[in-house]
Amino acid sequence: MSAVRVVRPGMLTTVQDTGRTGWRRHGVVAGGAVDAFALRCANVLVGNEEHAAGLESTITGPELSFEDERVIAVAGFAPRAQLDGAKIPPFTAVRAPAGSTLVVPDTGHGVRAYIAISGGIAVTPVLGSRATDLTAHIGGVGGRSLESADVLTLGPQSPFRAAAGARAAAGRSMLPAYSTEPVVRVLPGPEAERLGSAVLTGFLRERYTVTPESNRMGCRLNGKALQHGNPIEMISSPVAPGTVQLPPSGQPIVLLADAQTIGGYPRLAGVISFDLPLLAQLRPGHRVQFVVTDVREAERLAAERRRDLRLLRDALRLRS
Amino acid sequence: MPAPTPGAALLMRFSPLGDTAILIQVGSSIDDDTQARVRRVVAAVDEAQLPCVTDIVPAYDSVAIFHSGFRPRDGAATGYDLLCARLRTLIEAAAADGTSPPDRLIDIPVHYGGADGPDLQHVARHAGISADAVVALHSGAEYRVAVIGFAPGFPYLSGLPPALETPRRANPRTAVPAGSVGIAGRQTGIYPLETPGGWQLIGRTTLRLFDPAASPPTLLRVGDRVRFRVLE
Repeated sequence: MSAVRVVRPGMLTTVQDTGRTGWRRHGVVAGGAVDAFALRCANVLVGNEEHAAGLESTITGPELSFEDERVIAVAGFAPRAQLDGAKIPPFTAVRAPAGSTLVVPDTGHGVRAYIAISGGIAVTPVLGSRATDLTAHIGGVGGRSLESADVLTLGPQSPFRAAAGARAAAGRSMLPAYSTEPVVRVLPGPEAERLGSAVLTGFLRERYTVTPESNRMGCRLNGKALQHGNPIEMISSPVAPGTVQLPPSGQPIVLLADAQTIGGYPRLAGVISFDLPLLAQLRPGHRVQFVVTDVREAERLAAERRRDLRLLRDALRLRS
Repeated sequence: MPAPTPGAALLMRFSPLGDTAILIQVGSSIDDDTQARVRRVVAAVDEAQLPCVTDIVPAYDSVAIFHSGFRPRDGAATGYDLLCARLRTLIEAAAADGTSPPDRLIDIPVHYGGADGPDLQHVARHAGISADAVVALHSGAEYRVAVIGFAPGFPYLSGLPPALETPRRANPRTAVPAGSVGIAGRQTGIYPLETPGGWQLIGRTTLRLFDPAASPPTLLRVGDRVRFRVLE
């Protein structure tokens, strides 16, 4: 079995796939890549199943050395990556020869960059997923982030891997509209009505700043505090990635991949899955504004993205 | 939300929880009837094995149904509308059927006090009774697993004798040992993993509440009845 060696781990690099679904009633967090689109697209580009395990890096990415020849792709919001010293573009399948070195010195404008390697990272799945849960210490490499000298076994490469000589890339039109000041679409949340229309209106009017307290569990925002006249006696209820919670401080929190399954704060809104990648890439200091949409539009966009990934996969198979 | 009349169809309100889950509200308080309705909804949806349903999360008075998204469709109804209608039909059919899902009684052996229960004396003082009386009251009650959340396998138990209600610690501990049995307000629970925590710790069990290698990975399920047994 071939492997990739971790020369330098980077700031916070973990093995992630698309998450551990089906166990939420046991209090097990689904987790997985915060920018799930970037991982899925990178996987398709290297000939993997969309849900295969890759690496999620934060701010400063890893230095990796490949034992045998692989196809790789780096995805995110303008990440900087070099293969044997030569720059490689994001969202592009590239051939990494045996003995070559990939460095991701900087995840670019975005806070997270994803590295997909043909064959996927073959750590033992826990509860059906290879995603790393840093709080429960399960999955990935012993439930922790990568360290120098880690050796990651890779799975067998698919016979349909991208024709890397032709530098297969994802078309710009299928990429999320990454921005340091995105506009993000939401659906009203279960408590929106009880909180009152003035609260939702205030939320939609404000340009929020992402605070340094943000992490894989949630994006903590700062802006004009939303006051609710009638504080809600909230019974702990289910939440999902994208749920916008409104704590007593009046400063919203947008939950992300590692959020706990049950929450005690009112749910003001829910970010649509199509726009979650935009939030997943925000660094402290970036701004975000929200706009309301409807279920029909959310479904249409999500279906369009699934179709885009399918078409990309089919196009790559025809070329190899 | 009005209380349902006995024999009436299960009163449910559906709303989107983002576009990846549907929230079914079946009540608005923490009580046995509402929790029984939650269990019936979960059992009905589990039984139906709908291919698009990827996860189910029960809580005190609601259930979230996670789904894998919908094909684009023409016509007035959204995928959300159609799945809500399907869920409503199958849940009402199961409720009409009248069968209740069986519940289990789980026995949790606990060593109370000493190093395993550093807050036992505080709880006793707060209640104005002896530490022995706290142990007798706590282990004499029968509890229900109302919710599992906060951490894998972490059960929120309802049924704490009112005399034992004690507010959380003002300063949470940075590390609560796994298996610790605690009280916070009206709730009692057991820490499955070592985590920070602000609950008042009165004892500890050696039972493992969460084991990712086990099938199922958690000892307790929503709806289980629980008794604590005193270990000398």
